[in-house]
Amino acid sequence: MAARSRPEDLARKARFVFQGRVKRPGATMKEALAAGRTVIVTVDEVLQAPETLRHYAGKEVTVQLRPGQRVAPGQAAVFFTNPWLFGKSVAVQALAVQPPVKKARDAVRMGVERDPVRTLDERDARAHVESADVVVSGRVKSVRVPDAPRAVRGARGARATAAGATLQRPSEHDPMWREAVVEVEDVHKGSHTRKTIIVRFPASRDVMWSEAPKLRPGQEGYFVLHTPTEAETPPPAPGAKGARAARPARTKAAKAAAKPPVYTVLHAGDFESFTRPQALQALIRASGTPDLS
Amino acid sequence: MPKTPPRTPSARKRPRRRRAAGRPLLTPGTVTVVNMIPQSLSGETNHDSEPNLAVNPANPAQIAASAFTPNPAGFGNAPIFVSTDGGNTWVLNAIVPSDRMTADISLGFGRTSGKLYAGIIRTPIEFVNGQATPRLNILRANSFTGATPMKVLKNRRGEGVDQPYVEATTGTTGATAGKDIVFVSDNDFNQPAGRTATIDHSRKAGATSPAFKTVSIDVRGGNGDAPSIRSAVHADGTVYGGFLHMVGGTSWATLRYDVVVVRDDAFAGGAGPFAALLDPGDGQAGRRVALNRLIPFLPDQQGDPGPLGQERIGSHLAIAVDPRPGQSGTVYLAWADRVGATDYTVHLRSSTDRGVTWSPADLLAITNAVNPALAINSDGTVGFAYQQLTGAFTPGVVTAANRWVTHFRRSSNGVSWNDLILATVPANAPPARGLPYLGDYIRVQAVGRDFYGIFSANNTPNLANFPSGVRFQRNHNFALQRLLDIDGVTPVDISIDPFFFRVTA
Repeated sequence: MAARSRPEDLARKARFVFQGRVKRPGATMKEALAAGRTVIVTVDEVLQAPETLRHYAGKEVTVQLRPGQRVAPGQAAVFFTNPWLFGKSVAVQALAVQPPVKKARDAVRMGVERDPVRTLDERDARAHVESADVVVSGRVKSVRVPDAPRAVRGARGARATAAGATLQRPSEHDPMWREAVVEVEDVHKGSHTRKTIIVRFPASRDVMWSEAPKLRPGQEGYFVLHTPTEAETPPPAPGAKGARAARPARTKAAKAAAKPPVYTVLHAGDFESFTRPQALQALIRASGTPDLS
Repeated sequence: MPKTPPRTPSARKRPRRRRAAGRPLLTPGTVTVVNMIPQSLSGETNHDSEPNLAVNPANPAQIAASAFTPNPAGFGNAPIFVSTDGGNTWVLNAIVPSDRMTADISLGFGRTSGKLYAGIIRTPIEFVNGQATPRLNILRANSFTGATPMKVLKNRRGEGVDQPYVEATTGTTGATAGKDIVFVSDNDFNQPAGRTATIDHSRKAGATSPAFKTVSIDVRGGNGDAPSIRSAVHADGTVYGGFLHMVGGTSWATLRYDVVVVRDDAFAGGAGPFAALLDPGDGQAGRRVALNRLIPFLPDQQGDPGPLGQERIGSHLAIAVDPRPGQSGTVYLAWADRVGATDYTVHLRSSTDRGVTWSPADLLAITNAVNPALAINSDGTVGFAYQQLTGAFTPGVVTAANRWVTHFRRSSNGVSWNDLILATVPANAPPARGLPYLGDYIRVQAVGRDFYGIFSANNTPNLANFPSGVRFQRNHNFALQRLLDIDGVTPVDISIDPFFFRVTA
């Protein structure tokens, strides 16, 4: 018999976790019926949810069970699920169904009774920090156009205009790269010994980049940073001072001589302002130490 | 005294036998407008802009649609909207293999196969040499209502690709009989010499692993073409392509373009596709319908607002062919440019000789409008949708006096047009969170005599905003003009939603 997964592990994989009671086989929406293995479940308590499912307590939803999963009408359980269909009702796919014991509920909530959306936000923030190489807090000292013309102007599509300037071919998805010089106050994760750090961000408001943080001088907050891959690193502008250091160094000597990488922030969770603290600040404070490593 | 028979609703819809000279003979039709956000997402406040639509010609009850709609769960595949009852109700089905949402998406059904095709810019965006390089994915779903993610038929990387736009059909004769033929027009930065207007196409798109050919349809070269590249396909093998070819400009605000139409007569199956239409001026493939038009690409500075009612401008184009047998020589073309100091004007023209000559003047010119969309039905009636900003206009400024008005106009002769107002909504609310605001395109499709379409707009549940009527799936209160969350109590902020419409003959 396979060991039962731990609720805290399941909660990392499931966006919508709730305690509910099985009503009967079937579906709350016709679109879900054809898939089979569906049951109607009344949601008694939402434990973890995205914003759109915050108010689902008391509602009936369709749960598609995995092959081999068994439930009976009237059975109460904690359902670890991911949303599948949104229509007149909601259909979700079950990762696991576990007995509705306090231990399981507490594990999902990470020990604190709170808003189910906040629970998911904090869990997402934890995962985001875990995947980061460096987390710092600091203040944006300045924002500039990067040195390397290719990083901003784009090598493709450039042509000389009558005035001799370079005109970039228009694209709705042009990121309009900018670099923020950030004065580092604290290092919460990873290794960073310099007083400043360079953070590249797309200033464009196009849908492709609208979620990415838009940094402004004077902003203070937390920066969740991932070491750029070679593909993410702009090549140097011809003759640009120190441009070579922008690529990750490969040898030990080169690494020692190299300038720090230019980090790129693209995810909404890559920056959290001190003035609008959310899950990241709570996570750092809950750790009791500024060090998240 | 003879009794006058009572007027019935159907009698009122009957066309008059006698009509004023020059007026189109069109029935008023039955208009249906539906807010597509499902009830279960009543709490959502996303800006679901840039919608697209595909009606299954073999079963018009089946409709797929898309918008910049993220997966409501905040993770997983991007969703499409699915209807199996002709657009009356909608379900969100996350089967598009892209991280939470796409950066562009359009859809098309095979004519008889029931297979759904999509062209997307996939997220997350890939990087090459530090450059963000949007990649094109061409996708297929054999069952668009199922849970199986769409299959990736083509994954094109490189220098980047923009705004893929799908047209699909199914062949009827010869080597293509019964085979899905798919054209995905896109702006491909990989093309040499700036000939970026491109059509990826397959004449066996329904095969297990179909091959797609990539063809630049711009022979003139230069600094590239504008993002909107479109195609129109006729069952007899005629395929038109339309694009905006850059010819000048020293900044994004001063860019100039030729409006170009190309044609192929055999589903692009020959050795030199899209070369059937020569320009009388330079003798090259691609008829230049309008020359040296000013089309500013704005905003051109970081942080600037969209110049037209919060919307950006810079590339809008639509093309449609008459689907009737023997009528593939009739083609309509719409694009937008600036004719005065600050306007952005949509122009509509037509050709009845396979694109060789074009109406010398605009059939319609719509000032301060975006998102032209065209379709022609089985009667030869042209359907023309667009979104126009009304009220006193100052570039980059939007006030309570400005409204976005979505029109759907029809004409049986290209001269006289009726006009349905589908929506007239405040242009200053909600405030834009990014760009595009309403989207860089909307869509109209004809199946038989009926027109189907989609647009995005402010979702305030105010009946006065929808003169042709509207139905909301999401919780709302028309009397209070308020959206409500799934609990039916909690107020929800207004946002941008996709709206489906259907106009039956």
